[in-house]
Formats: sequence, structure tokens, C-alpha cells
Amino acid sequence: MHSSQDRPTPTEARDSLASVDASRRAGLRLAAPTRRFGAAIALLAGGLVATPALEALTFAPSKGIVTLFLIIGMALVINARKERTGTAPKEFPDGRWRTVLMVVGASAVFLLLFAAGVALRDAGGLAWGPLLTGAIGALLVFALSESERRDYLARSAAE
Amino acid sequence: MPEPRFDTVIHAPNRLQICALLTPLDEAEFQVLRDELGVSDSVLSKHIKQLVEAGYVRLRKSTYEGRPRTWAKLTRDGRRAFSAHVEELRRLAALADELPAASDS
Repeated sequence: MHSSQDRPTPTEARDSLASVDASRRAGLRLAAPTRRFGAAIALLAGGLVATPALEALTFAPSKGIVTLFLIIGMALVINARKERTGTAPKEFPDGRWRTVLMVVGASAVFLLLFAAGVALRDAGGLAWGPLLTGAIGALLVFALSESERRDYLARSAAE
Repeated sequence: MPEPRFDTVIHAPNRLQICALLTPLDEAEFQVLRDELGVSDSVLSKHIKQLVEAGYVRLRKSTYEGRPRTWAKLTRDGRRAFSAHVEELRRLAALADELPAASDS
């Protein structure tokens, strides 16, 4: 199955590499997130950070239920993109440590924004403070998504 | 960087393209692969089957709007074997650059 027979000549190997590059570029093009997808995820992520602002409402829905709806919303948006395009991009980078770093880093930034929102509301007396940190979170996620989109498209054009 | 290793299962042109296409993806739907490769369903099925038998690709079935769909995903072994195969191709292709120089001297 993995014999060394039938090895390609150097020229054939070069042609095979060209075919690999072309297919990889096609894969990258398919994996690139759309701007609309990035915006939807950014709004939902920003909403998660902004949930402490609900307490400013007179008839506030339960924060737990809103959080649950936002998380379900994110799962639905990701699944809809996957079903519509027929592809699912790799969510995490190669390598266990890089994945751990990315997850820990993103969680830390979001916890920090969440805590800042609560602090603005409680210590700063700004009832709508969490909305501000939620907006910052949403902008951050959208910027990351845009940077990922550009990276995918640049690699699909240049690789 | 993986050790260069020629793999006859991966080297067939269509299977090489399938692996390369799946590399940046978590998984891809059968129809997407078929359209990107420009082959028929039966040809793609044959090649996917060989990759599955080698343990390089895993299939998953689902339904969407009442229609059955098949998703293909490169396994960890598949990613390793593909990377090693590409390294071997790079090593062989580099020989093409060295050969004219060797014949000149």
C-alpha cells in the first residue's frame, strides 16, 4: 500500500505539487468566512458580553435564558453556514498548544470585557455600561473575522 | 516538518486533489468535492472508498432539507500521510532543479 514503487519523476512530482497547490487554494477559498457570517457571530458574541445590561430594563428577561438563546443562535449560524456552503472550515489552528492558547486567550478577553461591563454598571453607576463593552466585544470579533477572511483569501490567491 | 514518505494511496491524481482540498477544511460535503474535482459521483465514490479503507478519510451521513448528505473529513493519519507525501514530492521536485546543474558540470 505504501510501496516506494511507481515513484514519479522529478518533473511529474513538480506537476503533482502544482495540482496540490491548486486544490489547497480551492479549499481555502471555500473555507473563507463571509462578511455576513462574521457580522452575525460578532453581534451574538457582543450580546453575550452585554447581558448584564438587562438589569437596567424594568421587565428584564432572565439573563440565563438570553445567554442560552445567544449560544443557540451562534450554533445555528455556524450550522447554517456549513449546510449552505457544504464545507466546514477548521475551527482551530494546527497543534494542541496553539488551540489551547487561542481558546484560553479568547475566553480571557471575553471574561475581561464582561467584568469591565459589570464594573461600569455597579461601581461606575453606568447602567448601560455592559452595552459599551458588548459593542467593543462585537467589534473585536468582527475585526478578527475580517482578518481571518482576508488571510484565507490572500492565501488562496498566493499559495 | 514530517519525514518525506511516498504514499501510493494518496498519489493517484484525484485522491491527491481530494486530500489537498480537505486540508484547510474540517469537513466537506460530497457534492462540493465532486464539483471541485469535476468528476462523476461514481468516480469520486471509488476514490473516497480507497481513502476510507486506508484510514485517511472518515465519512459522516446527515440529512438537510430531507435530502441525505455525505461529509468527508481527513483523519489525523490522513493529514500526517498527506503532509509526508507532499514533502516527498517536494524532495523529488527539487531533484529536477539539481539535474541540469549536475549534467552541466
